[in-house]
Amino acid sequence: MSNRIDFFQSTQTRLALPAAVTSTLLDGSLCPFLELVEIVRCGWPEFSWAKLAVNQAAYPDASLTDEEIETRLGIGKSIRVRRRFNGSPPGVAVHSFPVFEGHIEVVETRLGSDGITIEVLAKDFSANLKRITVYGQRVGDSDGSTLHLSGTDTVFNPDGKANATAESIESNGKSYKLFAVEPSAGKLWSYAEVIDYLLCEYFSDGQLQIPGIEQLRTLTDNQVVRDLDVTGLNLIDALYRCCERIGLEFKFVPRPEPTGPGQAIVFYKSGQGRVVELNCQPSGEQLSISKTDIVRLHSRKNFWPVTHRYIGQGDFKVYEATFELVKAWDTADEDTDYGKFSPSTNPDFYQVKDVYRKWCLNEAGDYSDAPYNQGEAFDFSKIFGSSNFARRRRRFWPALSTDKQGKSLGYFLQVSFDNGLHWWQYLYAFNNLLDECGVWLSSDQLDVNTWVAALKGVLRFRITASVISDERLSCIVADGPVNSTVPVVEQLITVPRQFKYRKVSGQSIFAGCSDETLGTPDEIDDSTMLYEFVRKRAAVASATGETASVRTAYLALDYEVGDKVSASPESRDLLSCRNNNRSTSWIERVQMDFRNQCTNLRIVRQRK
Amino acid sequence: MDRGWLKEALFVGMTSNAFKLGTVLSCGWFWMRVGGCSVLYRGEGMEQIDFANILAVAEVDASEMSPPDYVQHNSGSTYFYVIRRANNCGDQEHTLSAAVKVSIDAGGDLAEPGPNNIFVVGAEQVDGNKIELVWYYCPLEQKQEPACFRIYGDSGTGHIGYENPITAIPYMGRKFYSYQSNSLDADKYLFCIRAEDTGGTESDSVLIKIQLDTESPVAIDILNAECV
Repeated sequence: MSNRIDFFQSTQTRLALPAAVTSTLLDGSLCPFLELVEIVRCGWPEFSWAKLAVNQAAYPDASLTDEEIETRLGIGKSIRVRRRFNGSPPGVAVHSFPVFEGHIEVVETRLGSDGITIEVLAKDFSANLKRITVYGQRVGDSDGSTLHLSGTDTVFNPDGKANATAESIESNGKSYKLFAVEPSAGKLWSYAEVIDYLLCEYFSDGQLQIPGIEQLRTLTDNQVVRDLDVTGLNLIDALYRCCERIGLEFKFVPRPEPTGPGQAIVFYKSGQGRVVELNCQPSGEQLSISKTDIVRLHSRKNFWPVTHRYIGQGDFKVYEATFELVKAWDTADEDTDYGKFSPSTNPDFYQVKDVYRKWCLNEAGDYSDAPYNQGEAFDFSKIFGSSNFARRRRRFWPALSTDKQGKSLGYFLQVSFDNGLHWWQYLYAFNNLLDECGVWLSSDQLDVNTWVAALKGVLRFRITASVISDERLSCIVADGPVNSTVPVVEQLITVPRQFKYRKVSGQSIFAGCSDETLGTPDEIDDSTMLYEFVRKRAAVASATGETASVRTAYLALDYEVGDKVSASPESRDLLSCRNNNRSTSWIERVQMDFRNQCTNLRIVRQRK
Repeated sequence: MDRGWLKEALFVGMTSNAFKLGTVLSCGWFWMRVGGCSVLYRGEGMEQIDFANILAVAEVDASEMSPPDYVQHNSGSTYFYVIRRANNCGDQEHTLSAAVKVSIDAGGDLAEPGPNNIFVVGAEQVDGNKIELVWYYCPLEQKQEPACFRIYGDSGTGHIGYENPITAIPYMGRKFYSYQSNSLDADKYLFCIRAEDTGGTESDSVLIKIQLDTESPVAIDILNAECV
């Protein structure tokens, strides 16, 4: 008894293949005088297009003049290419399905010694999107009313702050999320909602079939947008900027259904679609068209394997702390003459303007030496949590702690008249210095308490404010082995506007404070989000290991952009689909050449 | 792949299908056709093939296969036959690639195969009040090559006279064909195009309804605009 199992597969033994049978429809009716030259399917930025040439040989009875043909080939008229097939074998009923759908974008006429040649370039719906500019915001109110503010920038979640409406709002007959009137009451935009907004806002129903919001949510993994600015871009570039951040691609395809829009926008991830086989028999075998698709191949392998180390960098970290300030004046200029230190009573005030008035942090050590002698430069290590900072001049920024209304406490300056035993908020005028961490008391005359304490030598100041550190919020993701023999290429992704870190340090007088007059501090930690962002970027930005150009043996009309490529076990593994299971190959561009009756494919291989 | 024979014989006992496949009971069920076989099925449509009922079994490489005599072929009916192969273990393929359509005419004989129907027809008003019909013929898997296309019309009566074709356009291969009518009055017209082979067998009718307007649309006034 044998345990052999035979599997049957239809084998095509006839070598003669019929030429691809297609028909061209111009504005919905058969167009006899247009001959297909080529059709290209591609993603951004080329998208799909078809080139057709006027050839009256197929329709000699019509005797159309060149002028009549030019009149019929109006710019913008729809062009449809359909493939015919037998719809009910073993009987015969000729059916058709769409191969290309678009409109006339360019008509090129050449008059020369050979006569006149007219060529038509038809493009898919992407050409229409390129003519639409994105600007302004469609603002929706909770009562359902909407308004287009053309002067505002189209920025989704600027600086990571939510600005979408909480619910979908009806506008132009469609329901989608809009920009919130009051951003403080808004929700965060997700990528799915941004795509939905762009498509719904700029199209009326019936022009283009767009995916539902649930489908988009699944495709985008429901990721949340962080500071996406698309102001002034055309709609295609705006969609691309949105999609490229999450590794999503899109294309335009003709719809086979006779009703509804002729084309649909399809969002997809490369290499995750259907699998197509591209086979080539081992040399010496008898040629079988069931087993050989590839007749020509040109591939280019790049240096591989290489580990890419993605270093994601957000904004510089910001810390709030309470800083005790030091005297930033020459003590030799001190005097007991009250009038000498007021600009209104002393015409030479500029000579002593800093005395008793300028209080600094001494972060760069400017006041460590004579004549100031204020000790060592300020040490930020307790605040920043590391000693990885430069001794340089900085400046104070408003505190992160807030009042009951959620507004920052600003530069919270406190004074002590008893050498630091008690502190009071300094309620007189002062300026925050912009070129170093410090303040300058700017009242015309110093108040009596300050003056007396200064003379006694017990005056002290401290300020609660925030300081920007030298370290960015960062994370590192590698797509392969590090510290091995594999070379490592570091790639820097700097996204300061999207990911931030602000913290009230333990050195602040408001840290852990349960004072009811204070609100929630303006702290933020986007570390997790940054890690997710970099991880996803690393997943989609794998370097191309190999690019191959493949020519098929016959004109194949059914290859699509994004199709994953594999090979049968009986085939030669020309595209390394079988012997390399750490990579994925997919089709990036399809060119159907009707003149030479073949299909050219561009295939890329990337690490999984 | 399917091993329907095994289940059927085990749980239902000796059945008609098991008998045709040569399955016998001898201390267990054994697949007897160690060289594989071809199995014939029939249905009234490609979606209605009766795969539960084996009509005939032949060797795997048989080039001919006949349905049994008791299988009826009624006049004016169409039947679809499908052959599937089983391998040396009794696994059967799941394809419809080997199929044949049998049409019986009113006389009980095999219906004469005709040319294909014409593909996508369009009509256009040209040269004043004339109608131009444009169509395409595709010889994709045609059973009979057409000799000409016959055009029928109703002359505005609503009833197409199939006895008297308006004209015949000779077939010249896979290409576009056109027909231009005489000058017509404003009315509703019906046209029919059929492909016909040398034996006179016609394809199915393709009907076109046309509403002919002889009057030009009312011209619109050109608006004038000027700076004020």
